Amino acid sequence: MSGRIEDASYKRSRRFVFVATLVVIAALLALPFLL
Amino acid sequence: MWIFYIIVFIIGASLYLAFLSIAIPGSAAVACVVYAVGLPAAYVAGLGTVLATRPKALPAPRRWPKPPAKGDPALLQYFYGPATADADHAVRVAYGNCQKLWKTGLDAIKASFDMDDATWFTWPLGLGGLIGLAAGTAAGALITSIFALIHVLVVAVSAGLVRALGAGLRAADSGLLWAKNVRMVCPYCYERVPYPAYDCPNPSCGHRHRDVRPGKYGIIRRRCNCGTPMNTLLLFGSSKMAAFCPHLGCERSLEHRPGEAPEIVLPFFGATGAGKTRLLYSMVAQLQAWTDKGRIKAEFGDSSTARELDVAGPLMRSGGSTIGTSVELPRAHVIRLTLKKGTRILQLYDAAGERFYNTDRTQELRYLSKARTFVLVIDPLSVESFWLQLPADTQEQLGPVRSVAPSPDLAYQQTHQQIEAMGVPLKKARLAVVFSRADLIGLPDGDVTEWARQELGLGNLIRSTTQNFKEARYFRTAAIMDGHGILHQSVVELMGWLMAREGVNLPGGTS
Repeated sequence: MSGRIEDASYKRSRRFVFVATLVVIAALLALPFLL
Repeated sequence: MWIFYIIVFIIGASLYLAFLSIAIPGSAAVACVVYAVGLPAAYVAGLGTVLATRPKALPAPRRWPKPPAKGDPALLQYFYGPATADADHAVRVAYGNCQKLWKTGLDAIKASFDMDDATWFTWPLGLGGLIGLAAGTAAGALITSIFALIHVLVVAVSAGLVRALGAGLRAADSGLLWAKNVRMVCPYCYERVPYPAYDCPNPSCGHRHRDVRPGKYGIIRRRCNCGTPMNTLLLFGSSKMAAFCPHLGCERSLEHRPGEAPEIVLPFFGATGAGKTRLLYSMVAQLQAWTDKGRIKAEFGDSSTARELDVAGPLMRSGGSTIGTSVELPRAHVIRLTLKKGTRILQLYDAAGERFYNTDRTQELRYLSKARTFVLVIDPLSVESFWLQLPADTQEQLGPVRSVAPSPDLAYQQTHQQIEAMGVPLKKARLAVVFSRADLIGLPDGDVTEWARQELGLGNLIRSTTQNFKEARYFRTAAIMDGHGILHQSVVELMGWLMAREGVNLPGGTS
């Protein structure tokens, strides 16, 4: 029960961290092509 | 013939060497690329599994932050522990993915050396694969470490921003309360309430949250352990929830929705039978009369006040007497005043006169330290010299209503000392000295202070009150209501003076 509540509560924050990490990684990988 | 065999061998060996020179580096290159890309990809896949998709088969995290032992019954805010636990979890899941990838490669390499008749063909591929696996793993591990570092940095920066936002919101809320002059006081324990405690709004839950302000349990909202979201600040509407005193040992219900409006603490003090309760009732009756006429909106702030003061209007209209006040510690009568220029929460404290005769009992009235305006009520009939001047028939007539308490000086000096000892800056405080029963002894024209000095012989008290307080004003009041339900103007004038300095302009009030 508690796990489910936590999952629902943290869903947005987790997605934010995942997407932000991917964006930074993508930016880093794209850097050599942009420079 | 042997020359033919030598030529065939040389051609075959050349072809095999050519094959080796292509197969070993080729398979090494392929394996290197697969592992250099595969390991970071496995990490990203692990990250996605933990942070985004969270399939049912996802193993439980090895460590998870435990909420503080004496903390509120709420889920921790994501960046106050769970985010780092998730990072650890993601690394473990990613490591599992990488192990699978290695195992697949190593199995294939092992098989390449044990393919019976085809081994001559597969072993170079296996050897190349092994070299490539080693090189690719080194490169992949480096890239994966950079990815993990990025993930940790994202979590750290987010956690920093979230904490800064929480501190900022907390400061903004406190600043707003300060700017609005909202200082909350518990009507039961008289303690300053830095922030009310709130019950979870879920009727089937009832968990109490001692400090809902932004912090480790949530920034804009927190989630109760039952899953119900709760606002964290008065700015965001937390006052709509059921509030309680946060002080241990009290924890009583604060029904008046504290935090929404400035509170005015108004203590009445004076000797037994001086007329404090009657004065309070008359003020409440006047507020009700103004409410009925739509000039202001005054409503009882809680059910106890409503129970006790609902009779104020009818009692004043009937001309009946109030009953003696219990010597127990008083609970504030809370009245919410809604005016054109905002709302005020009025806390009226009416302690029994017996409490103002000895230090121990007066010390218990800690609400005195929260007030900046005080009301001293004096029954002129209790002053012996004044009483003795009255004609015998008047004495006989007024005898039953006369306060037989000790001199009003005693109650004043006792209370004044306590107020001072409690640290109230008296040079910023105001005092209304109210001579009650003007309806019985008449309202002679002229200066009240002169009358008190000459007729009552209270020169010392007048001098003392004038010197001790920033402002002292003297009133003669008649707490009576006429047949049309209109309260005596003297009470209206007193109310106007009391409230005007608090920024409240009452109808018909004077400053």
